[in-house]
Amino acid sequence: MNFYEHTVIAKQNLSQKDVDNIEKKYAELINNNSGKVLKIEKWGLLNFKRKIKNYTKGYFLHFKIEGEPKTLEEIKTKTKLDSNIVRFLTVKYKNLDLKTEYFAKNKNT
Amino acid sequence: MKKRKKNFKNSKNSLNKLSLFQKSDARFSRKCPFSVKNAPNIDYKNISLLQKYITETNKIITSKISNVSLGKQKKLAREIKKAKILGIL
Repeated sequence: MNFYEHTVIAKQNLSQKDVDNIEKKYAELINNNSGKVLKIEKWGLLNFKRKIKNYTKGYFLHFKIEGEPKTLEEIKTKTKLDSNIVRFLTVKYKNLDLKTEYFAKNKNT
Repeated sequence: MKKRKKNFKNSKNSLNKLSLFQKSDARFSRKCPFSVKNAPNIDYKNISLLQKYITETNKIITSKISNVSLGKQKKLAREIKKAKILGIL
């Protein structure tokens, strides 16, 4: 079992319901394919520094996962077909730190 | 007499030499900011830290200028590229 961080960027013109649906959908996908969601962070609507596919903003969702390489393949194939998602990134870690949140501080200030 | 000599030695600074042609013994060296104790964590989510090591035109600053050690510079470059993929940097 390995630890991963999976971030997904949804389109800016979606409503809040759609974003919640996307979050549920991927959490279920991971849990069903011999994986486990440890934590979900919502970074909210953030500006891009450059345009990505003619969009200037995006909803950021951040998953912290424990799973196997099989589960990652499933997620990648599904995300590439998903039309609501602009871009995604997965990073492998040996140890995850669940405490520090870099984007939660911005909301309070 | 001994005391005077000691004071003279301490007050003598290599930077205060009169002639320009003599080489100064002082070195202007800084330590790597990431190999100190309690160093900040290099991560692609830590944007405020990564922004210090990037120019205005989004280029990575060389380790000659920023004095980051070789291993840490490689890690920095990797994390900056990850952040650029997400469009945060």
